[in-house]
Amino acid sequence: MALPFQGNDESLVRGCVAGRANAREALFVRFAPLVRRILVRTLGPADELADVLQEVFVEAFASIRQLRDPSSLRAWISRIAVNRARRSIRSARRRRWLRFFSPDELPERPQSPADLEQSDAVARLYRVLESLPEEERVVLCLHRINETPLEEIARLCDLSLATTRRRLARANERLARCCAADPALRQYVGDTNR
Amino acid sequence: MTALDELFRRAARAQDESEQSDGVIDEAHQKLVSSGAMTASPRRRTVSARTGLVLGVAIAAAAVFGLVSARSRWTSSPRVSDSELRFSDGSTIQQHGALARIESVDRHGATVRLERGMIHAAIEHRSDTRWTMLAGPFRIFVIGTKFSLSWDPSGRQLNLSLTEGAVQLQGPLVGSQRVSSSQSVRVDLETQTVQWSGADAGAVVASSEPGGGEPAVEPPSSAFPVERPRPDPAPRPSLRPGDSIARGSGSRAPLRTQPAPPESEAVETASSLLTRAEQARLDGDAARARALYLSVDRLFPTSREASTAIFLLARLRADVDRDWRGAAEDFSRYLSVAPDGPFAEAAAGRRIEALLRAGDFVGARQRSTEYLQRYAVGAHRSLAERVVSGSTL
Repeated sequence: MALPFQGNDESLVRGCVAGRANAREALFVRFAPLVRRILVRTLGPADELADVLQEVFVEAFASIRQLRDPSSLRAWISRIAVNRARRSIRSARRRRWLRFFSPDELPERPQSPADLEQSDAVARLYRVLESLPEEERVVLCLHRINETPLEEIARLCDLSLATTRRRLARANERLARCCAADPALRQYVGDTNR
Repeated sequence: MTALDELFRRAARAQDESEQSDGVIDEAHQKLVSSGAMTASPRRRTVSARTGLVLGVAIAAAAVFGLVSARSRWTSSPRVSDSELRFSDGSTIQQHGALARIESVDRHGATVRLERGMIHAAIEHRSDTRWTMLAGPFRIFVIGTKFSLSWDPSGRQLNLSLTEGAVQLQGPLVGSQRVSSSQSVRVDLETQTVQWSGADAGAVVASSEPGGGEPAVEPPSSAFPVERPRPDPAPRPSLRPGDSIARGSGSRAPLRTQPAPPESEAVETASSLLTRAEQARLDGDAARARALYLSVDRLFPTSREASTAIFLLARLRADVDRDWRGAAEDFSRYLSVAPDGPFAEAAAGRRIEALLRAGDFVGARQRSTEYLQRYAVGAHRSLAERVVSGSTL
């Protein structure tokens, strides 16, 4: 059992580069929740979340010696997570990435009616998100579900701020159109028929 | 903040709340540890479906079968056709484009989880052999046999085909069933069907239709001295409406399915029926959802689920059928049986909308007045106000 790692980001990076188990463990403990959050925001609660999360850290351990500025560790690993998520979306478009109601996961007793209603709307929202182009979906999910500022999204996605804005605008327009076409989501974007 | 923003926040909250319970971080950590990535120069262990099951370290573990535990060890194969795991007791597992992992190995056998694809297993029989294959929500308990197993996580379909021996299959739709030599079973969780074929399919044959010519279902008890599996989180009857069992006659009979009438769903609980109705609705099968809602209302008229079913039926009539008159009637019915129910405000508001679309402006105005008296800050307030003021009419 490795000793707990104590130190700042710089010593953490040095420890990881040196292959120290406690440093890698500390890196995982420190950033796994952040990475999971980015992945689940962009992928939804997908079956392969644990695999993608693992891959993010495998990639991080393999490339951490390329990290020039240890103070940007958080942004660096976030960028790896976003890129992994994008690759996962591209490679798994055929798969349903949200199964709130997959038969084997259904509770024996249904959720309360209110929860049922909410889960339904959220499930439909995810289905709409799934239909968006990958580059728009990632920007939209980070901005609207994760509430990540545009400037940070631009950095995470290696985009200019202007491009990020354009993508987000396109994504929002597409989202509004899709929601308006869905009877259960129409109320969330304003019922144009009223 | 818009309503859509609030929906996004709700999604985020649900995702965050699941962090403690979904085990994603723990599972990823376990994989990192077992792959050696935490302690050595990392090598990528998680592999694609094409590179699937193999078994570098797992083979080594198998070579000292009984001494080594190789938990969640993922291995990859350079060539799919060469992927074979050979255990020291003579058991072998071949994969064909599969992704699988060894969850545990001990002196009695191994637990192998098939993530996707097909494997062919030849498990050597010994008196104390206990093998377990996991595929999605299914468990297959094995003593000694040869079989093929495939699992498609996207289509949620399991195929199990026995060449020799017998296994015990447990999981949704099938409950616990013995599958014997020359039998095949296909379980499709998407279509909620189970299809049997093969020589001994008759051993578990049954009809779910009352008065049918087939004997009643009596799943065979387990003949395997294996550990009891965790209870299925959503236990279901062994035979479900829509299941079909084809009797074999020495060779594999053609697979077939046959939808069952909603009446046969009386064997289920109100909650399970309602849940399946919601599943059908979300899958876009409005007709089946409608039939199931009606079943809930008819079979469990005093249950809470029945009132929920009425509301959901009303919404289906409005959103899918565009049957505004029928929707308004069902919304009214819900409000009569559950005036303070969780959907009361939504039912009252949507009834106004349904009446308007049905051309019943007088009724809409009357209901709008009632709505405003009861729900001063309701979501449909602006609509109700417009109706009362006449600006919508």
